[in-house]
Amino acid sequence: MPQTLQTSAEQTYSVSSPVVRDRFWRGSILPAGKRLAAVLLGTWFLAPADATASQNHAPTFTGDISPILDSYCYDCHGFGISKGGLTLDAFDSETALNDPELWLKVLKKTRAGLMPPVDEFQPSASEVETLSGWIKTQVFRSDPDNPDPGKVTLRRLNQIEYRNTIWDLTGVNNDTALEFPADDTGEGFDNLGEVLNISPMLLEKYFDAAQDIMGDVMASKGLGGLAPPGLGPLPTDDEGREIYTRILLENFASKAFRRPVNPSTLARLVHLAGEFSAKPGVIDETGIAQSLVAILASPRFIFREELPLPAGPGEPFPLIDEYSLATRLSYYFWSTTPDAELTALARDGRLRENLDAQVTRMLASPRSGQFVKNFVGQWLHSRDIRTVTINDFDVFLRDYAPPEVMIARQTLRELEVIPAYERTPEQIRLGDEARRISTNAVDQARQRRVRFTNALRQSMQQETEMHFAHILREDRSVLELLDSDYAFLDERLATHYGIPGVVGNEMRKVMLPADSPRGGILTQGTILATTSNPTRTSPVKRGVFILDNILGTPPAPPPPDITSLEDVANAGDISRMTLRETLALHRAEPLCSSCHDSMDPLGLALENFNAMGQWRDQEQSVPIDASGQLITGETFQTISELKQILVNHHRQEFYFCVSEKLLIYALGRSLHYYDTATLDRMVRLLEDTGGSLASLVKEVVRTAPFQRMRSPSPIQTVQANPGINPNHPTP
Amino acid sequence: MNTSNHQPDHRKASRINRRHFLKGVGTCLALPALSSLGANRLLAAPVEKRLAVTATGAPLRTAFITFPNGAIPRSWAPAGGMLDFALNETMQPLSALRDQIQIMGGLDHSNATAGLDGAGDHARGNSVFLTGVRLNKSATDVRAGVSIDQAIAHRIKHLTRLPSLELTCAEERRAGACDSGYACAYQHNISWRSATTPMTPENNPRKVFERLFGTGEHGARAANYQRRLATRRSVLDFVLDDARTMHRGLDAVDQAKLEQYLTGVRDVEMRIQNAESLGANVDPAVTTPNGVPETHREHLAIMFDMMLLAFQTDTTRVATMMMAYDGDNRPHAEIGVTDGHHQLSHHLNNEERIAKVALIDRWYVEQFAGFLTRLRTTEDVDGKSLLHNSMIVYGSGNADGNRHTHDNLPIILAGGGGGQLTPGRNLNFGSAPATNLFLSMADKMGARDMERLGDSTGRLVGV
Repeated sequence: MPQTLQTSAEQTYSVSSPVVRDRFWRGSILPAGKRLAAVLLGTWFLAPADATASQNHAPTFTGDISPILDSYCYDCHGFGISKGGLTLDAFDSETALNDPELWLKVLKKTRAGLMPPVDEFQPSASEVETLSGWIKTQVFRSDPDNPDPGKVTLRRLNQIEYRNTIWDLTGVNNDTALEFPADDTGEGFDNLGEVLNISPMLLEKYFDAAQDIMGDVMASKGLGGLAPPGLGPLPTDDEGREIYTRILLENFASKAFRRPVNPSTLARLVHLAGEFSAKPGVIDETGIAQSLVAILASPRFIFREELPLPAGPGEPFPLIDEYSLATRLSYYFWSTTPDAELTALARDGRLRENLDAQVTRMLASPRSGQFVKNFVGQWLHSRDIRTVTINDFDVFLRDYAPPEVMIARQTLRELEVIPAYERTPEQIRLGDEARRISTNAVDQARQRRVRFTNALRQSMQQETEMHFAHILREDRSVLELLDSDYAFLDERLATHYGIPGVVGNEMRKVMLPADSPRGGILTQGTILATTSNPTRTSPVKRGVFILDNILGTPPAPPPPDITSLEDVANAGDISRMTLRETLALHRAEPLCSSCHDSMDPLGLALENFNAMGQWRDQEQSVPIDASGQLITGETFQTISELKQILVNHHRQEFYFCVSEKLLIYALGRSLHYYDTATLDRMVRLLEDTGGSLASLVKEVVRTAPFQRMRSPSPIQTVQANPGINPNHPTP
Repeated sequence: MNTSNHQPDHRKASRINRRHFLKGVGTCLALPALSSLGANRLLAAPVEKRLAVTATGAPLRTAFITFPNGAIPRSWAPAGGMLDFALNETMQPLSALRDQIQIMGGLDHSNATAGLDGAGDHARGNSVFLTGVRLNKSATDVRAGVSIDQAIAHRIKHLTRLPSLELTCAEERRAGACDSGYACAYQHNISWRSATTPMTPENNPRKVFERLFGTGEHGARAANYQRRLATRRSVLDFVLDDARTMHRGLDAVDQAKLEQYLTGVRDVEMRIQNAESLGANVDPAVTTPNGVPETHREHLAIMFDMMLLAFQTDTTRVATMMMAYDGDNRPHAEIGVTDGHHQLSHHLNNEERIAKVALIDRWYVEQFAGFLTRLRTTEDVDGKSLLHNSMIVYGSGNADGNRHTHDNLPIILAGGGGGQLTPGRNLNFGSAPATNLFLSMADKMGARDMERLGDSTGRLVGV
């Protein structure tokens, strides 16, 4: 195959298979003039006689990929058709052909089995392999051994990290949730450098917090509380005071900055202490405290500065230095600043060689509860259960009120709009009767109803966190997040779920009855409630949640100029329909069905669980039908069957999804095409270990993006002084 | 340092603080007498290039207040002409203030429409409203534009202790992605200092009050405030120096982040300078609010009080407030609506739902009317009312929430603009960019050098 693709920007890359030529000849497809001309002048005549890929040379688009796409893709994404805005047979330039974001989409869709659609001809495993191989090697140009580590934008501490860090440094419990404005999030996480901003107000608050924190320290334990062991009290002589100040500030600043403070900064801090002492030049505690305030207001504390080691020969991307590594590890597992052990290893340059042991130690520490809480809290939304708005009474009525009550309530609503003095005697009689039925039922319901209390919400949050922590700590399969024969419950939550035999307020592992629909996160109160509206479930939101967070195949947002439901059926019809019927109507529109076919069945499968996460057999007196068919073809009758389908047929998508979420959280940045090699490695590990969550969580720290960085350009960084010991006073 | 506890108790402190508030404080916060607020200083101040002042020399204020999810069009639009109009159902709470408002029909936000960006009308409804720009659709690469309040504040920032005030009564943020692939920053901000720096709003009235007037009891606040400024000043040189050293080692992307820090530091410097040039801090004779109230109504009331106090004391002349973010799905049980607002706003032409949404629309107007009433009954330094000396936009980034339209947006312009506005009118501009209105307002604030804002095409004639 001649390298015909090395042509001018005017060149259009096009298909060259016999089928296409045939179609052109027949005139059934009329490409744009320019494209046709390019086809005629370009690849057309140069198409190789044998288009089959040889195993021995690098695959090419024209020789190897185009024929595969022709067989399976071009009917919708070629020949002038661009379904979903995607065209795979005409590229204006080599740059367009090699657009990594475009091919990343192709890679993900084919990998998840979403493309080609299930009712179309499916490529063979080797064809898929050829395509993905071409994308990875020729488009991404990724070297699996030396992947681009990407760019982590300079990250400030978020609310939680700031609070934990201050606690570790000073012992002050600074309520950042109250003091600071909420952090912005991106990709579902609040620790991404790209989206964490500092507004002028926040900067002001950083200054004031530094002052308040040091005020607390001085009031509670005094400066001595921050001094390194063995420093003793502030000496009385001037020279002694200066040495004391230097030692204390060097120690504290190095901890706060997460690397040794450089000598010039230290000199300025010591000077500042003198300047703000009562008698200038004669350092006192107030002056030192002022320098400590300055340390906590410094950008080196607020931001996590990362520095590279010198790149070795043939190393395209340098390792981050060990102080940076200690910091990454610490905020990943503990959401706080490195402890003395990590810092000491980094100082001695021995952290990397002790990495496994340190990771094991960090995960074993109770501090790793922060990882569970913050990662799971955001990935699986369990953090939101505390605040989600649920009107328990309305939810209850929807499921349990008999029809006459609902009719009575409807009558009351309709009468409400008629002023009392305009009502006919008949309306008054109907109103009184309806009120009687309604009040009666409401009274009865009130006695039986479940209240969606804070205590219940808390149990739910713990259930999700403990489920994840159990899998992590007992080295179990991540698939148990999808389906398990156990759950973490206390009496309150078990009663709520209708599971007998759990007594007491303590959350514990409970083996579920064999026929229980529970087990796994999908049937946990956290997810069921946080994906609901205040009065009812939302199958669409639940479906989107699963696509986003379990299968990793988020649906495209609804297109503009969408046909509204009102245009498809009249309002009266819609109001009489069940949710399932309304959604079916929706899917009758081709534009809607392309996405709703994938999300609705997943969400409707959970309809047996109301907005509070309780089991129900009917809604508004209509029996619930939870059956469905996934977009990938599998059919199911119950949620338990769906869980099995996810575990058995969608394991790989789930593995990719977990890996992606974890990598985003660990790195603090969004993912890009160049992370494919890293994700492949993580998924391979899951496959090899039977889905070991613990292995995956540990593996992250060994990956290139965690260990390395792009060389900062163009300026050389300021070298930290290696001679200064952050943990011990200088002699 | 902390061998006993391995991490701070995140729930403990915050729960105490969240629960610890005075019920109903918002509606009964007594305002200080005028004489305590330095009226003489204000009128004696030189009228510098007529920046943000009225003809009498009193301060001219402007505020932008947003409500969520648009408004039911048929209940919003008044009937009748420019002067002989009748308020519709949604605006009934403004009946007594009919002569203080202008209903601004026919203003659009073309950049809030889908365009090539697809879904995400609520994210756009928030961050396009005051910027008029097309937002970069990304979950992490945030790029909007400078908002009108910040553009004005930038030009008058030397006149008051605080350049601008950003408030919100939005619900706590939730985990997970925000609207349709837009970064959450777009959803939770309306005010933008620059394309990449949102002016994060404050939701806690106590924090707002302390930021405006200082911590502690009445009588001690001015001194506390001065102490704050002194401490801030004491670390300025050090952190600036530190930031500059750090800056040199960073690449362009990281430098931009650090630049946000430096911008904040420069603002702190400016506040210190302004405090020196403007004299002692005002200390209103009111109790410091005690946290976020339990109900949305109380929250709005006390935040409006904060804005009023900030205006009355001339602590700032520019403010924004999100009554809730566009896309808000809170129920409004106190008016009998237990379904979520956003969920209802897609009403499927169901009359019962439409009626409920209209009720919510009206409820928001009622809270706004309460604020206007307070402004009207508060006397300004020149003897006019605060409302007379203000220009206050009330609006939403969506017009019809059901269909996500962004033309003929529901917008009210309240206040007399110090005599520059002619309230009591029902106007229709056909189809003009809402940003044209904002430029006209900037002119009236004395900030006449703005060439354009977002999609503006000129000034709005006849405001």
